[in-house]
Amino acid sequence: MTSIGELRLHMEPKTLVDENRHQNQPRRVRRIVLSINGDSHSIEVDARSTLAEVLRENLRMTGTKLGCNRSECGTCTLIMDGRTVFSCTILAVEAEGKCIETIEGLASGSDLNPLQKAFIKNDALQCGYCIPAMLMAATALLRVKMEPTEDDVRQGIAGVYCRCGAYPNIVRAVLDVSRGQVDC
Amino acid sequence: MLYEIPQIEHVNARSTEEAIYWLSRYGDKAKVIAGGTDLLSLIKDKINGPQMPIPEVLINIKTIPEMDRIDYSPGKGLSIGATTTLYDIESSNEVREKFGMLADAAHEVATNQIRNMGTIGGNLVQRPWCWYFRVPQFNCYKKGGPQCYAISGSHKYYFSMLGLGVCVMAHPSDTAPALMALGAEIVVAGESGQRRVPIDGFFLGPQEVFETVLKPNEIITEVFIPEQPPNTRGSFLKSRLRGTWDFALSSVAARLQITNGSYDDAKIILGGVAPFPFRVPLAEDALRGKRVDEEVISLAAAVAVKRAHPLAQNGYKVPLTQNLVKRALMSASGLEAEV
Ligand code: SF4
Ligand code: FES
Ligand code: FES
Repeated sequence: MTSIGELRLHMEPKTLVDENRHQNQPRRVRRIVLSINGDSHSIEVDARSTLAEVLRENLRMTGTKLGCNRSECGTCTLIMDGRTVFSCTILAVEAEGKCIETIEGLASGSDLNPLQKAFIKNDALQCGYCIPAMLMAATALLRVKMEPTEDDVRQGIAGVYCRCGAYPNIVRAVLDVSRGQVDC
Repeated sequence: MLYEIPQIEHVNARSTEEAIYWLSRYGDKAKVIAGGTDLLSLIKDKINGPQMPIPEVLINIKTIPEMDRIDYSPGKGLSIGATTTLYDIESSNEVREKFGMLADAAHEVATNQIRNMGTIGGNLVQRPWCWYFRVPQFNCYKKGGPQCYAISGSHKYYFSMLGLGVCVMAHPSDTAPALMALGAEIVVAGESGQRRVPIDGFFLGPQEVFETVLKPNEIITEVFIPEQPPNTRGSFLKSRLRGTWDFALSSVAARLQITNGSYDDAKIILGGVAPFPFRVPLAEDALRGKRVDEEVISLAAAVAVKRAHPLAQNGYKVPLTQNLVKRALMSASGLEAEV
């Protein structure tokens, strides 16, 4: 067990008194590098911008959708360092150095990937608004569970609301692709 | 642009000392941010009060390396860094094997994405999820206003059934009852150094503006759980409306020590039914020294809700909690509950 040890606060902490000192001040605007679908993007962002805002507004990657904008609906789901997260509730400045994967990374050119094809084949979309999030949640699931049960799939996509209630066909699409029942 | 968050300054802290330095320097204006799932929603909805101004400086503590870790030392216990995510806790083999009810409780929190982002420290200090608290138009008691709107308003689900004071919120944490049953200590750092707070003394009553003893310029650095005696068995159960996302209508963490078919010791904590994780010592007494037996358990479950004083719309929580206590005790005792 490690413990943080005695805190010395009568002076500025050591980490502030090094040569980076001036870089590590609270800031309103910061230049960051984001790694998105394998590409690096160097951009200047407001500290208050969420990852979803930077993707959609600064980088014009509008595949990631926004619903509630406060961790309640899942529409903004993407994958960060292998795990699904809500991009509306992550500050872009805190996503620096992370491996970010969005819906734009699934297809190669106009070639949809098998999961996307399975969604079309199973008629898993109604209005389609939740679908980028559903696809990212399913992608994350299929990486850790290659042969998921129906219950696994339901749990895997549970954090994304589908207002249209397209769940049954979404679940079928994910199961289909895991069973290799999609022609690619 | 949406920009629901007002202009803020942001800094990545690289050590606990640095985080506390910034906190002390900016005082009220600053807040630490870890998972952000609670804090950023509060900021976007501009929830504030005299003692809780909308933060202008956010200090990221996810960049402090020693805060994100799970260390188990046999014989001593489990030390979890404050920014360890709930997902890391539920999927740690050591937590699952040695402190199973904590893994179960962490798994019951909200939904995948929240568990991937949310941290154990944040789960303990999350603010009320009372729907009056969460909209700026209701200046309720917790925000420095004169009254609680939930008592005369709608309080069917996420509210207390124990009639303990002004604010009738139900404490939303799932991990807190489990940690309390396991006798955890919360390690807190502040300007004057570090202190270890036994979790029994960490949460405050409904008369207070804040839910915990954490001062505005203090942060949780670690949660420590002592090694449990070998005859310990535990169970955490949560009852909720939806299979995902939802807060507890009621939850129970039970930790039992059983030798030769009788209870040496018991700890029973209720979640979701009081403004803080609620220990029921009388129900524990009803087990201590008794033989492991369904009748003994039923009696303890009845005692557990004896003090209940439900609000107009949440009387159903009393039998719900009683049954949940019974099921948790049956499962921790290795007995099959009849359905
Ligand atoms: S229950 Fe508590 S948080 Fe909710 S309105 Fe009443 S005082 Fe405010
Ligand atoms: S838009 Fe992010 S969870 Fe709703
Ligand atoms: S298809 Fe319309 S929200 Fe899911």
